[in-house]
Amino acid sequence: MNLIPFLLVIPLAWALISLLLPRLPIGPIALLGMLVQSLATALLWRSVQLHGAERYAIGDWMAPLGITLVADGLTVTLLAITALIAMVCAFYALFYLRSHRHEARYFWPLFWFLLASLNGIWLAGDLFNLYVGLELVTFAAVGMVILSANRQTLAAGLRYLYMALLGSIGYLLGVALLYSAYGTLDMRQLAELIEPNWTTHVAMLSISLGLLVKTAIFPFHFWLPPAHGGALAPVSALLSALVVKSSFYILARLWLDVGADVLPVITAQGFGLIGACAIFYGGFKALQQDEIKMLVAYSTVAQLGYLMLVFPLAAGTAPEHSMLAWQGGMLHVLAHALAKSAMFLSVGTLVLAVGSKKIDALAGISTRIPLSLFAFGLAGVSLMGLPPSGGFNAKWLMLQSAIGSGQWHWVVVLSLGSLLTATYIFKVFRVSFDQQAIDSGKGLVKRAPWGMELSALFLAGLAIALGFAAALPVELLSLPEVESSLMEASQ
Amino acid sequence: MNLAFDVLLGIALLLCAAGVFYSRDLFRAVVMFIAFGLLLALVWVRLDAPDLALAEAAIGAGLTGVLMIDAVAHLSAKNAHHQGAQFDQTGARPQLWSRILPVFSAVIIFILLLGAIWWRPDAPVSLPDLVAESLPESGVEHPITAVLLNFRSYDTLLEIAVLLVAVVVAMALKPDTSEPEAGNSKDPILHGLSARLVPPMLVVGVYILWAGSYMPGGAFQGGAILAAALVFLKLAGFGIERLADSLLRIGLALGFIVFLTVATSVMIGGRPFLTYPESVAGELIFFIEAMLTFSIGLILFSLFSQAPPPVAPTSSLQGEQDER
Amino acid sequence: MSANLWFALVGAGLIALAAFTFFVQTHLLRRIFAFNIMGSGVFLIMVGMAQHLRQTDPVPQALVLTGIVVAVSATALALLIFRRFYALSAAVTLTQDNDTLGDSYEQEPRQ
Repeated sequence: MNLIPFLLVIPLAWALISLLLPRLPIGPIALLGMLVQSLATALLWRSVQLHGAERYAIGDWMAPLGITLVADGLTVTLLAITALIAMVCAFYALFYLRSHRHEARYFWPLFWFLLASLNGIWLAGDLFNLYVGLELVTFAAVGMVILSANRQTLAAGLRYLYMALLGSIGYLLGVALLYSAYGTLDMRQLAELIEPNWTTHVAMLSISLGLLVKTAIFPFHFWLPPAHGGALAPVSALLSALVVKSSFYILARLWLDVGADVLPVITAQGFGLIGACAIFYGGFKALQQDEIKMLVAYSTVAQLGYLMLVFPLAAGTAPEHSMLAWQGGMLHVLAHALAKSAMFLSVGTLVLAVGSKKIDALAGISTRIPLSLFAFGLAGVSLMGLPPSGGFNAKWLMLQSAIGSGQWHWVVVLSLGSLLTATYIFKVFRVSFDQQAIDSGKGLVKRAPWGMELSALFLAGLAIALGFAAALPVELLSLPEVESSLMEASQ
Repeated sequence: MNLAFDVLLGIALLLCAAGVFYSRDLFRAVVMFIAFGLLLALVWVRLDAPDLALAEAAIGAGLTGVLMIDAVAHLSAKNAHHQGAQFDQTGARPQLWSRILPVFSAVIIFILLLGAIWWRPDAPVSLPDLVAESLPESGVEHPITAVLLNFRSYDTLLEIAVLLVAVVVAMALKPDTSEPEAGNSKDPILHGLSARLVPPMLVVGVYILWAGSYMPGGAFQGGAILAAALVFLKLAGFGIERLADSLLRIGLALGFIVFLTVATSVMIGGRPFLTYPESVAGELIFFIEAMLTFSIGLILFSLFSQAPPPVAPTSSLQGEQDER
Repeated sequence: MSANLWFALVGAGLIALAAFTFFVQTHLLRRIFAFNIMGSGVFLIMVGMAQHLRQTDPVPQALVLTGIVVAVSATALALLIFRRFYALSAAVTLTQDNDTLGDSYEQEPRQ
């Protein structure tokens, strides 16, 4: 029996359980569901590793009439990282939500709907199906942001919802134009048919703008910090680690997989340029924040910028450099997902422990709550791109690609970006290791639940471990189907 | 003759949209919006899309209109008369670029789209032919129902999930302390009227659902009419939103549960996800649609009735205290 | 010019008009109108362009039916959040002082 549909059925079924049976202990039940989900993901992962990419025709209707799901190397890697991070966030939420009774009631149904929609997006092979998936992600994510329903989160949620809806309309407009021009919604078929003409360019422009808004790439980033910085800690972790990646994933698939032949070099360089702006702007803003969660949220804005560098490095360059960029970019998705979720979780613990969101309030806590601070530090190492870490490997691959293809300007951007990241990470450390504050007995904290500290540490450890095991996902990314499309991309 | 009508219709549509955006107060904007929806329904008839005309009139104009009226009615007079094009919330003078940029981008968007529509290449694939070919195997005779509930049923499954998520968020936003609404005023005229109107509305809803298998109609249009009947009952003062909470929740999710269960259980027979056995495809689709109609009606109604109660805008400090 | 093409062009006009409105109007309810009308414009393009010079196409019609339902749930969701926000802040716009743009963002401590 094929496993692909179960990755959708399991989260949807658990969403219904946690919605309809609130009297049950839905938190522990969710953890059980995550185990089942992870098992299914692991089996699919193994099967793809052994037999190559799989296609699954829903309802036994072949594309273009029906909808096809695709599980290739990239898909299963993203499915795996999603299951992993969601499981740790669920574990963390078990402890975290004890102090948020009201929010806990609706956290779990939304959590499961979010998971179902993310899995749906990773697996989708149909343009309109992606639209419905994007809307489902948006609704669930906005719902999770406004769970605490105070004035700030409601305003942040509204801003997020409005921008996300605008993005969806842009995406749908592009899909409408593509359908009228090619008569199909299936992405593989479209990849064969697509050719450069006015309608295609306008459609791709509209789709790109819509997805850039949803991914919060500079200059459309402004909705992200209040939403990610204001939400509950496990929600922030899920949003920064996974949700913004979903729209980037579609953008990357569409340009590099489907529309590689129609991607003008100038557009790819333009994508790189706004990525560079995001890196510097996000970095500077992060440096200016005096609230720890806002610092981490602006760090997400900056880190998303690196993803945009994939386009100029992968399009119009020699196949081997293109491959390096593609691998580096996708490794960066994984590394950032692990590091940023670890960071948001550890920061959530720190804020809970010191009872304040200000960075200054962390003065002298290095001896009081070392475990969470250590997790924050490890995650920081990966974000800065210091070896050994997943972040280092990702940036190293991208650097190699940039040097190899002679695009020295991106080398400069990559290096300066790392320096900027180091600056704002050390800003936190300077405060927390403040010797005076330690001596004067400041930084008395509440004890944090062990489960919360451990979850953050686990994810941060994985972000580092990715530095040693990077070959595993990279090897999966180079499975035949992905590779062949890249060969086309670079011709 | 037809051409002149179409041109007039299109221009009226654009004027209506402008009216929605630039009418002086929001009540007028809502009225214009409902008019816009009805005109759009006419356009769908002209485009040979009676299903969309039905859905647009019931959902686009009707339900969205009711939702907007309800929201505007709860604004204070000052905020409802908030005028068009306002930059000066804080009294700051608008900068030149903030006036030029919107005009510029709107013109660019229009030109790009114009070009994209005009120089459209000929599509190499023809889905309508494929739909017509496979229609006999789908179990229904109406092609749109076949696309929605069979060929692309996965989209529809996710779409119901979208509706469900919206309701979950509505529930999450409901304040904990939900005291019964004071004096649910029973309008005698509405009350009497609804007693006569609701039964035929339900009959029409069921008919539209049933008709969907061989002519325009189906679960969404039927559900919208069901929702309209429920909204009507509520406005007339029947306290139907006080259904037991758990019962309501099951009703909301019923359609989704049935859909998901059917979709998954066919896999036991070795078929792919969402494949209906051909011999009973028509019956299964009708069964799913019936459950969906019921749930969609309840969901759309809940989105209306679960709206936060009309709290007078308080100072922000008080608001924060209400929170906790 | 067929009716299909004409209404696709009208759809383009609606999108441009709604986009303009979205840029200049700060009132949150007007922006919800703008979404709905922009969405209608997209639907018109979707059906009109697909049917121009070809037969009636049930696929985009079904897609638009899905789109209409998604649009109404988006509208309902936006209205729900807006109304709760309005009850707490008495504001109908998102301005600098009731959160946003990150620059002036300051979270009140929970408790």
